[in-house]
Amino acid sequence: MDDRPATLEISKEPTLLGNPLESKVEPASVAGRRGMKFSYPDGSTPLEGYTIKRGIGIGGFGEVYFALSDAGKEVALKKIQRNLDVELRGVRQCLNLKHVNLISLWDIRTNSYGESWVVMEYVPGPSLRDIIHEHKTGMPEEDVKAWFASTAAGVAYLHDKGIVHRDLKPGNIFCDEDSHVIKIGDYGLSKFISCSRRSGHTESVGTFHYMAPEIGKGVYGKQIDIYAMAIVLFEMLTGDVPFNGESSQEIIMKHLTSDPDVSAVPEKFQKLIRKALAKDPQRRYPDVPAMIADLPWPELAANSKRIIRQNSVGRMPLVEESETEVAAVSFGKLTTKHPGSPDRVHHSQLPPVIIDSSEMNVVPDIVFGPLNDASQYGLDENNSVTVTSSHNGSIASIESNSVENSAENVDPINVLRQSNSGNEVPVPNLAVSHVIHAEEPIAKAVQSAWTPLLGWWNTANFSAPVKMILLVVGGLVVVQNSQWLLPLVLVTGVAYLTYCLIRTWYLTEDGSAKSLSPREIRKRQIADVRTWLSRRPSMDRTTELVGSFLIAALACVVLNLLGMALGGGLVESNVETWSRYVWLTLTSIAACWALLGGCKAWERREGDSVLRRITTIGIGISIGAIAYFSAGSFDLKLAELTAADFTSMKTTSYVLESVPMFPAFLIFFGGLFGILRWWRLMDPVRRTRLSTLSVAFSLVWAIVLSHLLNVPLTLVCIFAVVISVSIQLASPWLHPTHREEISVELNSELAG
Amino acid sequence: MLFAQHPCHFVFAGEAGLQTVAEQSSEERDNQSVVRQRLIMVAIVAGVVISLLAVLFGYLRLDHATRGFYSGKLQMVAVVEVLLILGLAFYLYVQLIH
Repeated sequence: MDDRPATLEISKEPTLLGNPLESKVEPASVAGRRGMKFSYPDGSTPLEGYTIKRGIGIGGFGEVYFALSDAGKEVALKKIQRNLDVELRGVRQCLNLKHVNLISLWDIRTNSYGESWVVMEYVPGPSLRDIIHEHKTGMPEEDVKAWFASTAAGVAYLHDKGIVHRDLKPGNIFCDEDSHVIKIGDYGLSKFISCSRRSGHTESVGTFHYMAPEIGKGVYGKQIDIYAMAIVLFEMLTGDVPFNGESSQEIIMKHLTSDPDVSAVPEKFQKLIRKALAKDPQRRYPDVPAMIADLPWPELAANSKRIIRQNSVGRMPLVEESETEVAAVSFGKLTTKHPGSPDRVHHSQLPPVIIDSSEMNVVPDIVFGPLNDASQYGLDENNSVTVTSSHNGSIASIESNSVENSAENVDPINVLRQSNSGNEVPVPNLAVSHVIHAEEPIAKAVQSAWTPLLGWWNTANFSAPVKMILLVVGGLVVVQNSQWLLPLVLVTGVAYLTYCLIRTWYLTEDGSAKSLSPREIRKRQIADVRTWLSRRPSMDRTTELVGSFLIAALACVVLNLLGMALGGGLVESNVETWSRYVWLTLTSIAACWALLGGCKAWERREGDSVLRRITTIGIGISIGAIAYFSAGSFDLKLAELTAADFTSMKTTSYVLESVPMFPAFLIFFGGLFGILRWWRLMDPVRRTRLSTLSVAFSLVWAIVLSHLLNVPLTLVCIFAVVISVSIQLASPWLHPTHREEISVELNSELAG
Repeated sequence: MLFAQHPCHFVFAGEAGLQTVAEQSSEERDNQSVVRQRLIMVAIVAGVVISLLAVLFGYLRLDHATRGFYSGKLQMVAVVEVLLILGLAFYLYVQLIH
């Protein structure tokens, strides 16, 4: 509600990266269900000539990104996704406005997906909201003067051009820390004043705390900006807004009925604020210069006429500038800071701002910083929405939908994306969309004839004995005529079967009614997911790999300990025991990391199995060499371990006993890594997160190899199990539902 | 049985055997000591590597989650954590090995 509080909410899990242990590879849209995400990741180029660096804000009208042009120019890109016409109209009217206290709008562009983007000046901040947040009891008067004069200059210029801002508030006023100029933003919402200077407005505008009472009536003019400026001034002076409440209704009611309590404001401002906050717009100041003239700052009052001229207010503060240049700049965080000073406030240090859902739903606003509250999209706890898409592609309404796991549940980000292309929101049920149940006409006709007959039979006014008699008579007739009825039925059946076969073959060839088997559907899904995976930024993949390494290492540490305990290897806690454990763990970690790193690149495509198998064999041989030589470092006598293992197993001999230990190790590890398709165990689109069958197979294979070769049975069994479990736990896994969603999203993109 | 290593010098074979066992025992102790030190060293290095991985992963995840909004702060925290890890590792090395 209040646009001032600044809190940080770090996304708990909505990420493309996800916790590898928790199977969190998710598409942006999926992630968005649990926490708001931007539609475009860093590094993407949704608009030709611009590369997105990061998302910086979400407003009622769209998302705002910080981007770089190909030439290296810093810009802000605003993707318009709601109220497209209103926003574009407003922006077009402001495209050629030039004022130093207004954030420049440079261009409106449309990309190949039909999305409209506004290219505008990038001002990192801080915003006035941040400054007020730092001054709980009010800002110093010099700072207030600086901010207010610049704001007034920008607003006066807008009014002079016949434009009402309609959403003035601290969150929309920024300071360019490089040039030390205060700029007003988000005036794309501005609405052109008609010739009569009064026009009927029906749309709710402005933030509740800054909303003039006449806005509720739908008839207003530039006095609403005077009103909002007075509130901003009040807030700068006191640290709080004059009308506050527990709910939006309460705040609006106070705007409509209560007089502001100006006792907290310095006396010299009280009269001005009272007048500017008059309920009747006619009793307020007629324009900004009039308001400025009434300020207790003579130097500003004297220049109140000049202030509306273009570029009349630049670096702040006005008066001191000529004397001390910008060294005297003093407002908020920028106190005593010089242009280019090394300790300048960087935008990345600004706290994010969260606004609540009610404000988002009603008030177009720009929100800076991370947002994770799905309710801001009007979502309920289930994060499902029902969307009505209007003809022009803007979302007409978003309603909460409490039906969980319904096929109608749609992803909000997906919805927002698709709304831009003007498409109706598709039902994301791949199984339904891919499988076309071609209905056979003869069967359909028979069924349609049979159903009423059956209904008649069931509802006919016959007594049970009569029905029985009729059935018996019918049976007798069939038996009596069986000599010709039976061949007829057989011939008809064969003919129908042939017809069905031909029809199926023909339709499959034709493709018009192609019926897909579940296996084919899965294949398509996998192909779609691989396409999605290949589009992911390399940084995401790197993070995922680092997470996988970490989890694999931890899993090896724990599982080896468990394996040793179960195998009776931890009976004695001596150096030899721990050497064995450390050797096993290090070898397992090395194997896991080698497999994870090697196979990471393969997840984006199906690839050649033979080549992959050869690669994994190579990895296995390397691990075998590492295992053999590292055993020496820990003074492990592998031959003794082997003998002990087989003595306890009552095994008499090895098949290949003559093979020396070193080659035996190479062959064992090469064989273990070559026989299994390890890349399948690490594939994000594998069937299950942890395949026990694969674990069992690796165990059996390890036992077989250890019987063939001269290697210690217990240790290699532990090794095989630990590796196969660890890499599965550490590798990301996409839940089938998410795969479907990705597939639907991609298909929608293609269709769009 | 007596062994004549020198015309005037005879030692008992049993005595020679006892000395060999003592030497073997000593060698074994030395080996165990070396292996023990290696184990500690490996544990420290492995701990450092895993901790650094955790720091890197945490930084990347948080930076992504906050969309680069707090990159500076996160980098600072990560650097502090890395220094702490290295400091702790050095402390353990000095305490346990030296």
